[in-house]
Amino acid sequence: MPIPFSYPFFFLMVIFRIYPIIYSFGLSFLKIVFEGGAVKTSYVGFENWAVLISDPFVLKSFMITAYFTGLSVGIGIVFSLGVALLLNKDFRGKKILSTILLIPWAIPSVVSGQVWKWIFNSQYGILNTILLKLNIISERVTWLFNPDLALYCVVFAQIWNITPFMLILFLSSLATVPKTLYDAALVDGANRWQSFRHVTFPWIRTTFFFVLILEIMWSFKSFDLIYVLTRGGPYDSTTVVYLLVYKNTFEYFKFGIGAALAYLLAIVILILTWLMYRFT
Amino acid sequence: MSNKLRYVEKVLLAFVAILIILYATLPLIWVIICSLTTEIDLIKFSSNLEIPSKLTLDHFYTILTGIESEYAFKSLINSIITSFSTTFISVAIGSLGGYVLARLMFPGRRKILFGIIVFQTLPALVMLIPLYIMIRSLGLLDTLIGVILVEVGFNAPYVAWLLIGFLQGIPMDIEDAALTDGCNRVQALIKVLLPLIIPGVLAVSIFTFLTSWGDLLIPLILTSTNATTLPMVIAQGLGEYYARYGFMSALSVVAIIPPTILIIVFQKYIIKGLTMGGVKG
Repeated sequence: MPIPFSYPFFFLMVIFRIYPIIYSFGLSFLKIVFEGGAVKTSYVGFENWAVLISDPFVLKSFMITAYFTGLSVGIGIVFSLGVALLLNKDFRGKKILSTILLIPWAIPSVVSGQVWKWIFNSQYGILNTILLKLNIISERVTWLFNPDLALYCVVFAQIWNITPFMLILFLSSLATVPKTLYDAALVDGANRWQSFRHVTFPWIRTTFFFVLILEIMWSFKSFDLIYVLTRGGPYDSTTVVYLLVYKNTFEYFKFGIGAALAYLLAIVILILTWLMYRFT
Repeated sequence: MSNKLRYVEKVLLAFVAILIILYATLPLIWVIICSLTTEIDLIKFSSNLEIPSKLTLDHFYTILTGIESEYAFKSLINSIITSFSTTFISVAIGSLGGYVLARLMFPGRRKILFGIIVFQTLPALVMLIPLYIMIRSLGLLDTLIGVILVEVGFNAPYVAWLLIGFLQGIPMDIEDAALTDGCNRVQALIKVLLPLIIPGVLAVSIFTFLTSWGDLLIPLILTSTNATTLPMVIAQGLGEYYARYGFMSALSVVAIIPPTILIIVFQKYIIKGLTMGGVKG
């Protein structure tokens, strides 16, 4: 291996990446018990995997994850591309706009979780207060404690989290489309939709799919926001797979099942990413 | 196009721009207002729209002196220590790794590059479950060293990955010239390459800082009372202080300040970093 000064890097890769991945796979066939400082392991074969397959909640949790991802990424990407198209002109303050948009992207997602949690608060929250004053609702709504509403609140907060980033990338990508192409399309008698379909979109295609794949990947792994807003409740209606992995492992201390589920999620993400790269 | 139409278009543009700015900032403005009102005023304002008669910095005073919640104060200090150490160590180790992977041809190089991307795609928990056991057996649970170790383990490959992309944009001839002029590799690196990659290193450092500053998962798993970080306090509340939204809002504002300063100062580098594929996950 070349040059000693890079050894720490390769050392880290082995200790914190390769070794844990192999260990994790092994863990999915083990039962782990902690006794003080000691770790006791026993081999249980495919038992952990069998538990996952037979537990209907695992499948439901994958459905919740897919629903959460589909809604937030779907709405988010249409919304941000639409706004980016509207803002795709040279105007004063465009730089300031992108600086401001960077802030929601850069702040910790636990913070936006905490902010939205307080806004959605049923008893004192400002959302209920405003809706009451406007006579849109007649009594305070329990947003985050209602199994039918909680997921939509989480999706809403997630959309707020992810759109500024997408908007910045779309804006900078749209700025690279040559103006002459639009003129040519105009001469050919293209309407707005046609010039978007045949000029703009092909040009920003790479960025579009890059953003789409990235956001889907991230949504499958989102944890912070949901942990803060609902902890997966009420009645597990917002328990995405990633949260379920965490709960199994670090709340119920079922390390084997947690590791198996984490592996299952990793496989799903890898297959999904591979498929998306292939077909775009 | 007639002037009138152009005017309408301008107004429309301004309207959309302002709406988007409001959309992005209103929740943040709201949390700043909350952090500046007393608990009683805040409840009245939020539940009945009674405008507070006065603003106060009490919550910030309480946090920074640690008089009411030692836990919150300690976590803030821990957050500062962990994220700065993580950034520094990850960038140092990761950029050297990135340099070697970008510049030297050796067997297995492509496999390592591919491995880094795949690892980046995997959910962190796959690796965190065994790492918890490892850190536990080392007796490093609930210590800052444990948190920093794992944070560096996750961030250094990411630093390397970003810098590889950046380095590939710099022609190799520059170093070759230095090497033939009698510099050794380390000299060539420091004297010739370093000045060129400073913007990239800066962008990567900012991303690493933002990632570790906001990270919840690693401290949540590895710490309980001593090495807790600010995101943990924000996520879990303060027990008896849980209903204190003013105080919690002030904590959130404290967590927003460093990222906001970084963005205002280094906006140019961040946008550049974003376009080179660097993205906070």
